[in-house]
Amino acid sequence: MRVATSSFYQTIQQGLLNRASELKKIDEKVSSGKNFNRPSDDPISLVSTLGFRTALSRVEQYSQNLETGTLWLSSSETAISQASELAKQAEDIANQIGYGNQTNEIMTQAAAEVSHLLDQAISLGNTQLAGKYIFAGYRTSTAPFSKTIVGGVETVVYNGDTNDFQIQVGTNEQLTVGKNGQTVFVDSNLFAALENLKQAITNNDLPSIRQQAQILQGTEDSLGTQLAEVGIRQNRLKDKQDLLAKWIVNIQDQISNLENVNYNKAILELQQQQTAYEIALESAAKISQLNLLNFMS
Amino acid sequence: MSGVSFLLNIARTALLAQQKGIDVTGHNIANVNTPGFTRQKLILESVEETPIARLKLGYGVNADSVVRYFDTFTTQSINQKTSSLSEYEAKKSVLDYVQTLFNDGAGNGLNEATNEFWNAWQDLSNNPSGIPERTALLQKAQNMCQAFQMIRNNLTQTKDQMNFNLKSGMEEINTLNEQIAKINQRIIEAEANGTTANDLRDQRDNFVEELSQLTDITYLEKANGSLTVTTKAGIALVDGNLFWTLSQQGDHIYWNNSQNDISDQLTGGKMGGWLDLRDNILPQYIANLDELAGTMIDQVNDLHYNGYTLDGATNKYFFNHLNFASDVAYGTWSGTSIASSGGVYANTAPAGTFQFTVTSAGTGKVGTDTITLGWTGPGGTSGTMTFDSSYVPGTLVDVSQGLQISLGNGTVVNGDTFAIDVSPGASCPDYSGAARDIALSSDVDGLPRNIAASTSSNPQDTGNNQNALAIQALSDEQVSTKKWTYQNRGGIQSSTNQFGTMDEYYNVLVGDIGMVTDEAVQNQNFYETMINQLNDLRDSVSGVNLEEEMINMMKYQYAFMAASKLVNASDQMLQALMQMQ
Repeated sequence: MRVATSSFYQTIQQGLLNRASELKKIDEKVSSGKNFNRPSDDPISLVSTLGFRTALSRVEQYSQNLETGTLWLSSSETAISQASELAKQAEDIANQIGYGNQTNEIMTQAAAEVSHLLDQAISLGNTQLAGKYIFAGYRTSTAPFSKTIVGGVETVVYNGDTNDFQIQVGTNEQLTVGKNGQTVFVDSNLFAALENLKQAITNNDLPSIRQQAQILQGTEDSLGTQLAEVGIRQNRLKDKQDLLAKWIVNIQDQISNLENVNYNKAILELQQQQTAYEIALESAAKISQLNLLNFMS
Repeated sequence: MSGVSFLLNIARTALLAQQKGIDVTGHNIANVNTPGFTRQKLILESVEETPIARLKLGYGVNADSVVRYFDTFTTQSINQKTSSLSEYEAKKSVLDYVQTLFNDGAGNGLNEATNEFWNAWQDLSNNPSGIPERTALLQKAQNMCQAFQMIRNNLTQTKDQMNFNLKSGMEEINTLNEQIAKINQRIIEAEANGTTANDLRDQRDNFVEELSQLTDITYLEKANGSLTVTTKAGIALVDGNLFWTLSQQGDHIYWNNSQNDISDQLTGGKMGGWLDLRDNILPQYIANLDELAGTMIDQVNDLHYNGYTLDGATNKYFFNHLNFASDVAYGTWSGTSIASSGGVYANTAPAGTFQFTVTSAGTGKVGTDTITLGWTGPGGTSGTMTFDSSYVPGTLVDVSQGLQISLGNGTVVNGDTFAIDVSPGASCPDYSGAARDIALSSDVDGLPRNIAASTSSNPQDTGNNQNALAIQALSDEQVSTKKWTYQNRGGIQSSTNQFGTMDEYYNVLVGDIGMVTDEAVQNQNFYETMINQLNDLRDSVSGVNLEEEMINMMKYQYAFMAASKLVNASDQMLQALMQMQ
C-alpha cells in the first residue's frame, strides 16, 4: 500500500498519544493507590464499593450504639448489685433484732440504719448516666424515686413509667439495655420491705420485723434474677460487639479488595507500559530519520 | 510535415511539459502538511500528427490537465464516522464533568452524607434528649440537603450550558454553509471551461468535514461541480450558491427562521451530542435525583410529622414540606348530579382523610350561565367559586389546598352536592424539583428541641427514642422509588418502580453515570481508531509521499535536461544546415 508521508507522522503521533494515555492511566492507579478514580473507571466495582461503604458506616454505628448499651448495662449492674447488698444488710438487721430482748437504744439505732438504707436505695434507684435517670423508663429527666408522706407515713413513690430503653444493634434488631424502675425495684418489693421494716422497728413489732426479713430475702432473689438478666444482656452485647468487629474487618477487606491497587500487578503493568512507550519513542526517532534526501547527493 | 524546426517544436513542448511536471510536484511537496490537501498529478499525452502515408510522427507532448487523486467513497465514510466521533467526544467531555459530581469513590459525596445523616438519627436514639445529638443531626441533614442541591444545580447548569454550546455550533454551521455555497459558485465558474478546480475542491472538502463534525450530513455533487448538502434527516443546508441558516430561540432551533423546531432533525455530530445531553441524558439524571430526594423527604416527614418533640409538640416537619403535585387523579369523587365532574388533588395529602363538599347555589347550564358553587373543606374552611359563561367545560379550576375541579357539559340544579374524599394511599406524587428544594423545615431549622424523636406527647418522656429508631430504620427499608428512563431526546419518558433502599437507588444511579460515561469513552476510542484507519486509507490515495515526489522531481528534471539536449541537438543540426555551401 502507498503510504503518505503525513501518515507516518500521524501514526507516530497517535501511537505516542495512545501509549502516553495508557501510561497515565496506570500511573494514576499507582500514585492514587485506587483502582478507580471516577465512576467510569469501573462502574460495577464502584457500585459494590458504595454498597459496602454504606454497610460499613452502619455497622460502625451499631458498634458505637453498643458502647452506649454497655454503659447503660454496667450502670444498671452496679446499681442492682448494690441494691441487693443493701437488702441483705437490712435482712441481717431484721434477723438480729427480730427475736426480742433488744435495748431501746439498739432498736433506735436499727431504725436509723434502716432509714439510712432506704435513702441509699432511693439514691440507687435514681442512678444517673450522663445526666439521665436510667431507671425512669422514658421519664429520663425526672428523678424516678422520691419520698412523700402518705397518711402520716413516709412512702417511696415511683415517678417513672414502665417503658424500657432500647438501642439499635442491627438492621431491624433492637436490644433492651435499660429496664424501668418499676420492674427492677418496685416489683421486687425493695422499697416496700424497707419502709415496712422501718415502721415495724419503730413500732417494735417483732413478728412484722421477721416477716420483712423473709420478704427481703425474696427481694434479694428477685434482684439476683435481674442481675443475671443484665449479665445475659451484657454477654449478648459483647458477643455482638465481637461479631461487629469481625464484620468491620471483613467489609474493610472487601472494600480494599475492590478499591485498592494490587501494587505488584500495577507496578509490573507500569513497567510494561513504560517499555512500550520507550519503544514507541525510539521507533519514532528512527522513522523520522528515514529520508531519500540522505542518500541523494 | 517534418524538419529540424519540427524537432525544435517537440523540444519546446517537452520543456514546457516537464517544467509543469516539476511545478505540480513542487505544489505537492509544498502541501505535504496541508490538511485536506489531495495530491495532484499532471496528465501528459503525446501529440500525434495526422499521418501522411505510412509515416506517423508525433508532435511531442501536451500537458493535458492536472487531476487530483481523490477517493470519494472513503472520504464519505470518514465524514460519517467523524460525525459519530464528534458526537461522543462532545458527550464524553460533558459526562466527564458530570461524573465528578457523583464521585463518591473518594468517599465524600452524597452517599457519605446520607450515611452520616442516618447515623445521626441513631446517635439521637442513643440519647434522645441530647441537644448535642440533635444539633449534630440537623448539621448532618443540612450537609445532605446541600449535597443534593449541589449535584442538582450543577446538573441543571450543565444542561443550560448546552444551549450556549448549541448556539455556537449553530453559528459555525451557518458560516460553513455560507462558505460552501460561495465555493460552489467559484467552482461552477472555474470549471465551466472543462478544467477541475482542484484546490477549491480541497477547501470545500475541508468545510464539509468540519460541518460533519457538527452534525450528520449527506451531500451530493451535481454535474456542474457544485455540492448539495442536507442534514441526514433532510434539512437543506446548501444547494449550489444558495444556503440556509439555523437560528435559536430558547430551547428551540429553527431553520430559515420558520417557527418550526427542527432540533429532532439534527442528529450526530457535536450538535446531536449536545441535544442528547440537554434533552435526554441530563434531564434523566435530574429526574432520578429528584425522585430520590422526594422519597427521602416524604418518608422522613411522614414519620416525623406524627412524632413528638422534646417538648411534646407534634405535627412538625423535618424537611421543608414540599407540595408535590400529584400526577394522577387523587381521591374519590362522588355526588348527585353536578354536571359530570372531575378533578385532581395536587398536594400530598396529610395523614388521615379529609373531604371537600361542593354544593351548587343556583341552576344553570355549564359554559352558558354563570354558576356559583359553594365549597366546604377540611378544618372548617369554605368558600365559593364562579364558573361564568366563558368557562370551557372540562377545564380545571383551583378550589383550595391543591384541589382542582372541573365541570363537564351539563346543567347544574340548585342544591346539587358533590363530595371529594381525599385520602392518602393511592398517591403517585410528582417529585420534580425535590433535589433542588430539599431543605430543613422552618419547624426544626435551628430548633434542635423540635426534632421529633419521641412517640409520646408527654414532655416528661425525654427518654422516648421510638420515633428516632423508626426514622433511622428507613435507611434499611425497601421503598418503592420511581426510576425514569428517557429515550428519543426526552420524547419518551417512562418510569418503573424500583424496590430497594434509598442508598441502593443512589448507588445504582452513580453506576449508571459511570457506565454511560464509559460507553462514550469506548465509542470515542472506537471511532477514533476507525477514522485513523480510514484516514490512512484515504491518504494512501490522496496523501503526498515525499520520496515519491522527489523521485518524480528527478524524473521530470532529467526529462527537462534531456529536452534541453534536444534543443541543443536541433541547434547543431540547424547550424550544420546553415553551414552547407
